[in-house]
Amino acid sequence: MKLTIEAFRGVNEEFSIAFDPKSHLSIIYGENGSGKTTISDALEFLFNETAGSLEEKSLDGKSRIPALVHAKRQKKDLRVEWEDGGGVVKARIGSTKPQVIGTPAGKLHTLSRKNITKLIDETPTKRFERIQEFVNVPDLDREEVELRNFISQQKQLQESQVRSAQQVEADLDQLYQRATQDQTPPPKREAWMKSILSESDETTKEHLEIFENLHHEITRLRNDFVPLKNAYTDHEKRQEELTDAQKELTRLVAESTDDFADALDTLEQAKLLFDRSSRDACPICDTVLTRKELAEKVSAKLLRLKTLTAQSAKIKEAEIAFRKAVSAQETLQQGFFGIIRKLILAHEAAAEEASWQLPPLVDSLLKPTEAAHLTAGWFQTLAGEASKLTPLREYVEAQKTKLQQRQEVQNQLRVILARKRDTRKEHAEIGRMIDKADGIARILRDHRIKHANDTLSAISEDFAKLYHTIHPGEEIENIRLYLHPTQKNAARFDGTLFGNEEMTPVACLSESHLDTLGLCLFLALQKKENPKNTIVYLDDAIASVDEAHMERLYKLLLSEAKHFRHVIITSHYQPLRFKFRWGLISQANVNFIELGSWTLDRGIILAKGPNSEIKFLRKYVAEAEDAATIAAKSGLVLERIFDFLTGVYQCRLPRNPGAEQRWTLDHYKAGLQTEGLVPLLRYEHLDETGAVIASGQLEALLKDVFSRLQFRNAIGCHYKELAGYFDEIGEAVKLGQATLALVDALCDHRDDLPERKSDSFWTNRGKSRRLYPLAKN
Amino acid sequence: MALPQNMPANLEKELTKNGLLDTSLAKEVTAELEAGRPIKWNLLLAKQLELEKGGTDEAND
Repeated sequence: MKLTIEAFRGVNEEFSIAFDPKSHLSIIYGENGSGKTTISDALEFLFNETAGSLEEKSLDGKSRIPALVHAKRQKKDLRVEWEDGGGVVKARIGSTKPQVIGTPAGKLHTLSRKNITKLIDETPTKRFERIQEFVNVPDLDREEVELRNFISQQKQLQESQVRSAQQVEADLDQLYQRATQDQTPPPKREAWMKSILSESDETTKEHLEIFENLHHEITRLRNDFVPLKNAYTDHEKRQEELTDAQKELTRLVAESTDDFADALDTLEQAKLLFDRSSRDACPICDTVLTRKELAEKVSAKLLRLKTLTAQSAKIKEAEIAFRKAVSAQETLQQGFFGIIRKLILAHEAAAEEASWQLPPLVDSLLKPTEAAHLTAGWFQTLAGEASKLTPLREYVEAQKTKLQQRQEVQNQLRVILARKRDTRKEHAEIGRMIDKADGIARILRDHRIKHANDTLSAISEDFAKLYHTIHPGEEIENIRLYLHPTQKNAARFDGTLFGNEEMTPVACLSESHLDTLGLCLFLALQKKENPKNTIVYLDDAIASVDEAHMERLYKLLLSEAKHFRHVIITSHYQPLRFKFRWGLISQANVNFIELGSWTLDRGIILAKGPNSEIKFLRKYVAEAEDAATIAAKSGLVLERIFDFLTGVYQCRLPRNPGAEQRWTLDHYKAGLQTEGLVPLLRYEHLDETGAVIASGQLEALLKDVFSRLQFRNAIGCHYKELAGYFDEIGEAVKLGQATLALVDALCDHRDDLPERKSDSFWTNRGKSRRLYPLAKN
Repeated sequence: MALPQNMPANLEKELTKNGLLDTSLAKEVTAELEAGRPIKWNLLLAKQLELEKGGTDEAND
């Protein structure tokens, strides 16, 4: 795994840092301002698209992401890359947001020094917000919310149904009031409804049809009455006109009988006259007749004949008009007879219902058996009886209106009652739906709470175990994280502290204890959610832990790290570096990275060199270049070995009450040389099968070292004024070689000392080294 | 998987208790939850009421 950064916060030129995937734990050591948080921010930027530590800082309203760009570089220069396995994920800044190309393998969870106690001292609601991703079942949560929304909607619908039901009641009441307003006293509503509904739709419809038919025929009878009357009158008139015309023609013909003979003579005379045009006297009677007189005579005869012809034409016209009048009268008679027949049938149908007081028809309507019987005389009789039909007409109209109103009320009542029934049914169904939805929501909620509490309980158990590893024997029990019993999405955190139940740790524990608690809680939570896919970054999160607890915390982190994809710790805590370098804490499976001093131009740099003081010493001795460094490193390594030997054999060392116990190499040497210990010391090297492959006394090695301590003092730090009076590099290399010989006798390939007590010797973790005796005596 | 282990079976058991949901519908709920798909509660509950109505009608018949 490798992170490459450029133009990002304090990193100007490209900077890369690799995390060995074979080690579960990486320690980034660096002084304040060396760039530890920048590395954390770069990972946050790439993995979580946040501005990391800047997220919780005020930038006076400026955007956080652009603020990540190095002071001397531009936004386009910023680059963060993460190599893991074969894949590379790249992140840059877009306009204002991170642009990540690719998907990083796994998740990153960062715990900074600032946030270490947040989980503990937050309010229950905010605490829940921080842990919800571990305890929530999002789909269950979503559906519970959906069900609650659904219930709320259904309740609104139910309220609307209640309003509908009220409206139905109001409509029913209104209909009842309207329908019974003329009745005194009005019937009770239920009785009225019963009476309205007692008659079927069909019956009302049939009755209405009967009266509508009757009404229809009476109306037709009334409508055709006048036309029929007019037809009779017209018939009579046309008859008279024809008779008069015929009489006139007869008279004209009678008057003209002589004229026809006379007209014949006149025409004969006119012929002769025209044949002999010179003759003036009448050729017959010899009466002198002038041409003029003859012409006038002819004209008079022609006029008379024309009059006769015209009268004949008038007669023809009168005959046609008469025939038309007869025909029209006959047509109307036929129609009227048909109406009468239908009226009689409709009346008979209505008369079958005995409860109806149906007035009778008049005789003149009942007598005719064919249309020809409807003579003018008959009509006169009917006209005389017309007023007798008025009761029937009025009765029919009244019944028809009454039935129509009844039908309307019946229909409206049925519609209202159907609405009422539907509303009641829907209301009941919605109620059942709400009950079921509520039941399901309760089950989902119970499962959600149970899962959350089970998860929190498991987390609590785990982090309590972690915490007790660091703080064994303290009266802190049952520390637990659990859901608030009544408040939704709230998590409580308490425990039995010093015998008091349900105590809040914040109130009782020191800051250092709270930090450890926060760290353990964080680790326990991260372990819960797919830890093999999680990179944990603890940014300066162990700073407040004192030296006594630090070693236990380190061991804890080393042991917990194997659960995760990788754990990265950053620290500026010197004792950690010291112990790591000295092998006082295990170096196995740990990737120790030391940062050098940061500058604006260079940015973050890695401190070069091996990762333990012994490895440094081997390197410097092999190079044989710097006497002072070899002497100094030899001194540091010897301090560690002497400290170990004087410790396991409980050698006397001078005490300095009230001050920190720091001993010089001479103090240690004096301590070791008392009580005849040195000649007793011997070592054994064993192979993997447990067979001894090398052994020897430590005395010679120690004496060699003791004899060279003065050079260490002269070259390394003290009595510097002697420098130059002897072969410094030669002596330094000899001191280094003597020290390494002692190291090789005592330490294994990981530079581990035999610090473990066995039956009769001390041994190392890998059981490949033994130191005898177990005790001085 | 959207639901923690054992939860689908427990849920199904609870959902079918006292005739709250028909077995087929309870299975539908857990299947949708496991698939991470939203549940159409209105349709599901309408189906349940319909099933109950059918049962009642038959009993009435």
